[in-house]
Amino acid sequence: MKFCFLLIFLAWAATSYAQDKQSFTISGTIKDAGTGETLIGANIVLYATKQTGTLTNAYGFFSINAKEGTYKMSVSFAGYSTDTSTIVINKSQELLIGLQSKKIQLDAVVVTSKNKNENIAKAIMGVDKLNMTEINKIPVLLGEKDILKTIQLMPGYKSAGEGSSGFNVRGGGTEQNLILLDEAPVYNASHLFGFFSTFNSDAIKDVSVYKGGMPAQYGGRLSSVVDIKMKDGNQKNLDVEGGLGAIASRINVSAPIVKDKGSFIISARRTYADVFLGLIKDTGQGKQSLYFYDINLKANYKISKKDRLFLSGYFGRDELIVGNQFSTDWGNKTATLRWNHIFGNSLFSNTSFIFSNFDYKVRVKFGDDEFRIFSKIEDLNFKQDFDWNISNKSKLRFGGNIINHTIAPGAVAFATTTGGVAKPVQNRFSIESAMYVSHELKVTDKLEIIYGLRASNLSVKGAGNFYNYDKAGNIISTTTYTKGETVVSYFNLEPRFSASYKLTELSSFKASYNRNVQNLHLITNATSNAPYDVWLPSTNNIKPETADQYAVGYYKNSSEGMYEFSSEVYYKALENQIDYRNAAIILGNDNVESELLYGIGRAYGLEMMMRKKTGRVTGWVGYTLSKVEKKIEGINNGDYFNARQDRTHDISIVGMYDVNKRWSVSATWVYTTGSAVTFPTGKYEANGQTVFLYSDRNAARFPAYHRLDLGATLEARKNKSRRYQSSWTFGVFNAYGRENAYTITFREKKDDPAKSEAVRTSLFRFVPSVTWNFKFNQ
Amino acid sequence: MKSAPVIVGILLIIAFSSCEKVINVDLKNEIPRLVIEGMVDDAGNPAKVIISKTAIFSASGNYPKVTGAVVKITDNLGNIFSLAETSAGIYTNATLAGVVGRTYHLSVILDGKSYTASSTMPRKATLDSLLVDNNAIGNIGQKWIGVVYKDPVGFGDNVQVVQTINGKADRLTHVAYDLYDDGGSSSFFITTGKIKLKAGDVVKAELRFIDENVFRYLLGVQNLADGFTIPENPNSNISGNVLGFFSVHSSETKTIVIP
Repeated sequence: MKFCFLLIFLAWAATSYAQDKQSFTISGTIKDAGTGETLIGANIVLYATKQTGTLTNAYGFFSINAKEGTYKMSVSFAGYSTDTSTIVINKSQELLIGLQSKKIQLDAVVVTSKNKNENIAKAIMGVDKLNMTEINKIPVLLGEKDILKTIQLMPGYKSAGEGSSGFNVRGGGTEQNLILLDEAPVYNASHLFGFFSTFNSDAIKDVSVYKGGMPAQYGGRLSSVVDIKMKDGNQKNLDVEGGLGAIASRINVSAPIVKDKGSFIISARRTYADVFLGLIKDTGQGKQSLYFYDINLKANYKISKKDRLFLSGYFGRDELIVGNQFSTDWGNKTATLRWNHIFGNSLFSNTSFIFSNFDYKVRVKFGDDEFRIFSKIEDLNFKQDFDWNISNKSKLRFGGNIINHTIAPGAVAFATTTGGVAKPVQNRFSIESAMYVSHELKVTDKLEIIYGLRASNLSVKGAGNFYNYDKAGNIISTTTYTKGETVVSYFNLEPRFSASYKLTELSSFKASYNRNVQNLHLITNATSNAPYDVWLPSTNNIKPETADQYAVGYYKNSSEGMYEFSSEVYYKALENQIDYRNAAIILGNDNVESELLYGIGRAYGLEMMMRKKTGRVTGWVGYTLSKVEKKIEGINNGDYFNARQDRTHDISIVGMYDVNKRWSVSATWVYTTGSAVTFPTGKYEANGQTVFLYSDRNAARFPAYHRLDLGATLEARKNKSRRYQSSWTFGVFNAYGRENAYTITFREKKDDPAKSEAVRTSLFRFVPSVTWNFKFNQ
Repeated sequence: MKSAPVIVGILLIIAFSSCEKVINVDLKNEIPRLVIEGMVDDAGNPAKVIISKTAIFSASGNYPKVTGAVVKITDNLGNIFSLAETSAGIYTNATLAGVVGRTYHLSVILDGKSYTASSTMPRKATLDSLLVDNNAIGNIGQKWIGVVYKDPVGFGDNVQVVQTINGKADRLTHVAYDLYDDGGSSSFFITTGKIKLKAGDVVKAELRFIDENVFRYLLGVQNLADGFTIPENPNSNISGNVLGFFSVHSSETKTIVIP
């Protein structure tokens, strides 16, 4: 049924947009001339009487059709010199184009790597591309440049908390973001209780973030996709980069395997966070430590003109040890093996085998007793994507994938014999599969549309016991399934549509509709940033979460391309959202589904952004006005209540200024309405202590959050050979020392328990940082 | 060992709680609500029901006591015990001794309205010993009290510990769930909160086996104090939209002198 539909669709697409007879295909790869690194999203334009253009895909590949004739060809990419040449087209041909990188300090800081005015014409909306040069300039906590924190400075993305790398997109939960590192999902993208992201920016080439019109090739999460691509490594020479920072040091080595054929890159980062936290004082009871590290590896090899192999991997771990009594460690592992193949010269194929794993361990010892918690989520994924350039007006993407999920939701085991019998928590198995097709079509010169469909399926498999519950959460019946037996399947169709209509050459109007389905659910009622997450697939009780998002937008560029303005309005309806019963027990509970409540949600808002893209001063001003609410049976009398991440106003201002050839400075200022929280409305005494009384859920607010961060970069004088470069980055986080509330708690006064007090905890004020960076090219 | 996952949460907050400040927060005040707390045990303590009202946050803790209620407890054998108001808002009956396995029904009639609850006394709590553990968790250099007891076969033997230090209540709720490990010897390690134990201190710990509804109420109270979940009023096992709980529990007490 699914397959039939796809085939009919493909046949129709192919016949409707067959190529013109006399036209030829120019295809090829665009690279950095110095390092051989492929460039993602580089722009190729052919001029004759009319101009046609295209962009390179995620592997630097492009394909463009042209009739016989002589053309002027221009190839451009942000931060690189534009390459202009004359090309005579009388046959189909393949090109390999290298672009020269501009010197960084002279480079105008370009916020996106998009071509001038491309944001106007493209039908896709709600997408942001991050430029790695810019990420390096924006000041962040302790100087650890961080892609996930830079994202939070854009409208529509909100920080999940002070200094946090977690973020909420258009009202969604942090678990509703699909974070991909070379196509492998990263389940817990943060280190050190959320303060740092798992991505070492030195190893990253490109970041695209989708908050709205998510293309059909992505699925599995409701709110956003963060698609991160690692660098391939220097194809020409040995390249060593690194840095010594306030809390971490990093090194990055890349070199050719065979010059111009293959290369590798190894990146590593290790913190000395123990020092910064001041947590670890020697108590004379054994080892104390707190640190994390990351290793990124990637190798690629060009087997033939049409075939290229990539192998990439990530390994990261956090470890916290407090004497003999407590230790915990957690981290992600991912591996991706990919094969690119070009059929003919316009059908690009990518085949991937992907492995992804997140796990954590906890060990607690009291007296002679010791217990351990272990949890993991592990995916094996096979994925096939096709990218077919039917004509310059019509592009088709199609493909599918199948993922095998294995989840160990966190069993508690006792290391010492107490004479008792441990109760295991069952592992959960499921197979998630999807097929998609997406067609990008220039209907007229003014109208461009992308329409697509994703068909997704989740099959929950045995072995295991599955429970049926009554309304109060008591088990009514238990069904036992054997290994591989299907417990329940959920099939969903996810239509995706977006369109742009050019009002003028410099302005456009866009609209989109998307449906997204999420079959993996994060089960946690904790409000802290602990990594002790429990993931569960949809089951007979937990239904797939869905989101329907409608958005419209208006875009305008200034004529010289110096300014870019965008504004989007969205409405999102969410179903099968999960919440928790009163005093729910999540960790180590085989019967955790009995603790869940379900309901709906709605999120809507207006986002505006004004960007200055060129000149010595660059940056942007972003503003979001938004609302997000949930309605859960059994909470707040079944009425709508503010989600925790609901913040009405959100402003971010980012400015970067190139003072001279050596110095550049930057500043960011953020302001948001305080998070929605539940504060006491009274108190009483029960069980011999003060208990605070609460009424409506999340009806109160934290005080408004605001903060100014400052940064400066000093490039050291160039040495003569130009093989060695270094720079210093200085920063101050929270430069005017605003005491923002991280938590506000209510408690009895210590010396007079009859009285109560509110206590605010604020984390970071006036936090300075210095980082020294170096770069060596052979 | 019981309930130690909670400790994981405590650890995290301690790591970052260095910059605390007492602040004024503009809070809404709810109109006073009725609070009923009832207790029956098998340790010879009189059956006791305390009826009071909630106060506003800024009040200094003199919760208004509610007098003039008619309070009765009946058991599933049909025995009826009346509780007399021995001081303002406190209703007691010294002849009611709880029996393991029996279900008790509380009835409070106040201003023409009736409030009811029931609770069944769980299995007998047998407390083996108390011990002291110097533990670096949280790096607060404090001593933890270990309550060692026998866990009967079968899950759901949820426990509560009521602790006093030199005769003074610690003003904390300590509950643990019997979910991970069945039977054998269990130990439940509890903190003494803000009180730092020193040599010579006398710690008295009462182990209670409590029923599921009472356990969930007290777990709610414990969660509120820890502050790791969205705060909400614990679900009372008493009808009529009141706060508080009615607990019939088995109980054993031991003391230890800190070495």
